[in-house]
Amino acid sequence: MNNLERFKRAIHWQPVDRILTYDFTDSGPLLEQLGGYRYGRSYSWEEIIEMNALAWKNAGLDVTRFVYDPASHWMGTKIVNWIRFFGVDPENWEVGQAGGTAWISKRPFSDLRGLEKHMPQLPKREEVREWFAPAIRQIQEILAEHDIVYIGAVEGPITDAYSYMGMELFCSAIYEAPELAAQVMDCCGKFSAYVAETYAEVGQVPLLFMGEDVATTTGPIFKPSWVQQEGVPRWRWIVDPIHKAGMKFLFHTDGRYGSFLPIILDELGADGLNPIERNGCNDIFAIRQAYPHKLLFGNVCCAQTLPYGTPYDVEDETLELIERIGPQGGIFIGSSSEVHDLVPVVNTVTMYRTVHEYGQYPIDVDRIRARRAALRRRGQLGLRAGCAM
Amino acid sequence: MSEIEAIYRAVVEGNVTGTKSGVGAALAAGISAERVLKEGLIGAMGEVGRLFEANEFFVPEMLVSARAMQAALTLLKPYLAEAGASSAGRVAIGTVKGDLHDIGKNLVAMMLEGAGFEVIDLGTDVSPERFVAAVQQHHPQIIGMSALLTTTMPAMAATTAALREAGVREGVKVMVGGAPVTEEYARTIGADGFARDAASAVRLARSLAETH
Repeated sequence: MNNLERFKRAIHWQPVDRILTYDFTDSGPLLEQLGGYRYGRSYSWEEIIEMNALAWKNAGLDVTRFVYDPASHWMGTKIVNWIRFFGVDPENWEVGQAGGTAWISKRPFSDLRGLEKHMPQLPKREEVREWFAPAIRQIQEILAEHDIVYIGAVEGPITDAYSYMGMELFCSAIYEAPELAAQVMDCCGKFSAYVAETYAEVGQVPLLFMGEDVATTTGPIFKPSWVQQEGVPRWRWIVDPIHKAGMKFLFHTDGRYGSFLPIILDELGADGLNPIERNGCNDIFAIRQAYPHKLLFGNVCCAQTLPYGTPYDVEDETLELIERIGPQGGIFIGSSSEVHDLVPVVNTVTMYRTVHEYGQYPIDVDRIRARRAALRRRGQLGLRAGCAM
Repeated sequence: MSEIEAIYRAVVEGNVTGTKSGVGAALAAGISAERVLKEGLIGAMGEVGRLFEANEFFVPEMLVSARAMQAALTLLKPYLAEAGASSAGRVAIGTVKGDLHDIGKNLVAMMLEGAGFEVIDLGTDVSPERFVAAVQQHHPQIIGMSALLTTTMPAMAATTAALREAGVREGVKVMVGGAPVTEEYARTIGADGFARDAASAVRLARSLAETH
């Protein structure tokens, strides 16, 4: 059974031979050490895909949604898409990049009056399809040769809108110019919907991910009733063609799902969640208990355990997920959000290899518990030394 | 409704026009700028913080209220200076080196202003050296550091170390916050306090200013 076959069966809760690993990796060290990437050299897009695939294969990653190019942050791609598909003025946009992160550092507007002169236009379905169809095929075909499953990903309309406008201006517009905020969200939502339709048409992998960051570690960024009112109808533009094609839909927000869960999982009908951040944000085990038929992607902590834990800490946290959720199925194990530069490569590899070794079905819970007990008996845990089994 | 109540209500509702006209009416009625500040603006922003912590207000609501407050403060500042009104303290705040996120930092800055603090906003991608320079130049009681990414959080430790090396650490309180930051991390790097959100940042700043 290859990974695509496993994936297709797993997302439909059909028996498989093992748990799959899933992650978003934007780690330079991982790409260098396991993919052969060298900073300072130029690579073609195909070479970048190949190096990522090699790194993932060597690390033990089965499923992903992002090809990492250290020389080109994804924030820049957003602006390219806005220019290409929304007809916005290409001048005066800048992306600042520092320390692995990037943000839009300059826009051609700074207030609502300026925004009115730089409003995006609705994208055209055929133009989006023409651009994305070959790109989707290329990535999925190259990665399939390496037995890596590449799931489709789009940005949510709220997130893309506040990326376009800047969070402060977007928040002001919600109250001072709601029609402008709505128009920007419409453009962004339609764009993602057309990309989703293209995935449904040409993609080999029957799952789409939508990134809609509406929460922080402490709770919602926006009033949940506002998110329900403005988000759900636009999310349906994206979800409906996916479900119509028999595909699954994965919802993403950083931070705490909390009061959004009924909106996302019940009202919208999302099939699963990723990421599922820890650090007092979300309890993946409680989510599984409340929503036993929803797919879960995650969630070894990328804020603490992965960057600062020992490999044994990583192993223990991974084993806990396999032990407590693995037997029920519907889990794809990886980081709680991303494998970034601060995560030692040995920890990343430990996480995935633990899944490969202990995630074989039927899950041997006794063997896992024996291993976790041994880690504690031998004093091999660092950050997780105080964590009960 | 009194002039103060009108200002209070306008700030909570995020009504910039109403706030500004309310301030004008209050000053014209002979109400002192200090009273407008304390009972109108600071009182209202306290209520905004309470509503945020009660999950009734969220980022947009806090932001529009803070903007109304800032508009009022701009009108009041000359009168406050003339009256020699003192601030609750001086805070220099910035997002740490390598991090370009500013919304959290901006919200905290606005809430601190709304609580009567004098705020020096250092912006984003602020190096440890710039934080040190800010302490040496502005003599704040408090330094506030924000980080939104796990990868930029270590800059907080570097900054507290830089403050120690420059010999200015003892004279300033350090508070930290941001998505990946925890109480435990704050303790590890020797910060004086951790705030999980903008509302609790105000309470922390008040407490740190009192012990400074």
